[in-house]
Amino acid sequence: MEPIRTYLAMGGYAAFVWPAYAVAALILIAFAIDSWRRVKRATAALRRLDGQDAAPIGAAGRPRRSAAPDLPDRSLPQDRSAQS
Amino acid sequence: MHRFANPGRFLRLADRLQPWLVLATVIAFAAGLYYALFHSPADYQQGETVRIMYIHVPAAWLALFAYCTIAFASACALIWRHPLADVAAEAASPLGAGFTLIALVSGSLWGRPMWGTYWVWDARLTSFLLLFFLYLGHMALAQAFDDRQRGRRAAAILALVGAINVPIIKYSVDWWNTLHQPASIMRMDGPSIDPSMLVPLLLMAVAFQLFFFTALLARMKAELLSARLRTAMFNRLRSGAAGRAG
Repeated sequence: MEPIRTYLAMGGYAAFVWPAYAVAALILIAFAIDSWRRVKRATAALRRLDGQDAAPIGAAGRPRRSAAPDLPDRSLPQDRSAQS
Repeated sequence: MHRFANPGRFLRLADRLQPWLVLATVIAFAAGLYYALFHSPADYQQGETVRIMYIHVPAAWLALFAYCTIAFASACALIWRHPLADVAAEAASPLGAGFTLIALVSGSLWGRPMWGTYWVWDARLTSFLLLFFLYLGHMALAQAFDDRQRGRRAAAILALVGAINVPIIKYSVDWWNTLHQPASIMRMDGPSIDPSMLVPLLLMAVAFQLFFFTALLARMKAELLSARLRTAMFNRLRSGAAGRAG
């Protein structure tokens, strides 16, 4: 037990070393979980929409006025068509 | 860049990369933490607090890297209207803020035993705190308008203006008398740090970098899928209305 206790004491700086690692771990793990959840939520919502013919309107999301980024963007130079 | 302008293609690429990125991130963190916490010596001056450096320095690098990513993406969004650039900037912003917070907190926890204070208003620390506020402003501005596109445009302009802070942070330790020490890795004459400490530092830097890319890709993917969902909902609403009218 003694070597473990010595190690955890961090030469008397335990109160600074471990909180620093804890804060970093907390923030990174929170981001990992949040990012993963966002993907899951969006994937599930899309699947639900695909699976239903008449979705309960307004339940899954609000339509936005702005152009969605996955619409084809006409302002982009079309590399392929320029070549052909 | 335009090859990945198609969100569908980007999503397929992200799906293929994701498992490998997650795996690489976990391995890099395992190796980095092993070296940082077990397989590296205590510093002859700093003692065991030198281990704080293995998260502080990578977090600070990534805080700057994420900001450069946002500034670059914002330029692409404003100049070429690249459809993924806004999504990338918005996804990177909270991650960058997180890295900045880690760097600030870990630095302050190192400063207390080594400098005798949690905080000083020296040029490096102050400009880094400003970076944190720039991130918060960027996130708030992107969400501040009902019209998403307008919010993103305003955020992109803020990101570009704020980019002036990046060289200020980098060179603050040379331009002003700071309590913060000058660079010891990114130097013209090579790193001035012992290999036994350079290895854990670089491993942790790789781990942080991989984490950033993995999380960025996931958040961009989630946003693109949500956008697709919004479009589908909108189309359904519209066709439903047309059906009733006809």
